[in-house]
Amino acid sequence: MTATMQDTIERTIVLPVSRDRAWAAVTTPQQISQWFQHRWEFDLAPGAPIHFDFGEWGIHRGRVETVEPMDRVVYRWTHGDDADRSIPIDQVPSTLMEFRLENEGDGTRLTVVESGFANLPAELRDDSLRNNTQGWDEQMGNIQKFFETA
Amino acid sequence: MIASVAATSRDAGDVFVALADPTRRKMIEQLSVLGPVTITQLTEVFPISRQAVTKHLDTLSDAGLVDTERRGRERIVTFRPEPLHEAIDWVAAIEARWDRRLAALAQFLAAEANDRQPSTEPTQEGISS
Repeated sequence: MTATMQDTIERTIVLPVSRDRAWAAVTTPQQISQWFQHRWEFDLAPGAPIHFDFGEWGIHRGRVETVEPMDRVVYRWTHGDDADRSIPIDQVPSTLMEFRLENEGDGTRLTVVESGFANLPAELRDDSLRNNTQGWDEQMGNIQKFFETA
Repeated sequence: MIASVAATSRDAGDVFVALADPTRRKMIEQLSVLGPVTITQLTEVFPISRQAVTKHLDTLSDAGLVDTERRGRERIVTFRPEPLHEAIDWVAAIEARWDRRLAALAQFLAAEANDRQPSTEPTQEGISS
């Protein structure tokens, strides 16, 4: 039985870089924008607003929720139609993404937890899958390529 | 088998809502073990009112996880596991998206390391799976 199923997903990867290098990659707007492949603009401070530019998926708001230097950062991002900026962000459907860092060997383990899917309205969940046409094969190829490069 | 009408309006998210409550998770576990039961039988298993049982069953029904069928004066409840699979597929798709992002992050860091220190980096040993 999947009785323990939650509205959370968790992924993890070991990066062959130092803890502070990994921290910079997940907390510097310019760096995170590069690998995330969408533009993030924000100041790294709890409560600070985030401006996401998802290209054809539109402009979205977010908020820096938690900053624990070198350990953990939590960002909120809105889903669906977030065009009406007069609506407070807390009243717009959103999920949280948490980035957690731990030392592992010479590298750094990064764990991503995205949560809050149960609170998304039905139509948004389909939307959130639209951009999901690439499969596992390509993923494995990317990871393979990374280890060959590293 | 009870004929089941496909509920086209429901989606994976309703399953998450249904599973978010511990009583409903226990209910599903019980239903999956017991097979079809009457609401009266369910009420005997759970220390909550019949009204509360019915309310939870409505939520499970919205998610497509149970069918209820009137038989005489009773209602028979049957577990439907199919929406769980849809939810699992949905989770897998979100996970795949994060895998793509994390692979892109790893490539970003590797490219940057190569630019900065082409040959002075120590070999990456001790990095397991």
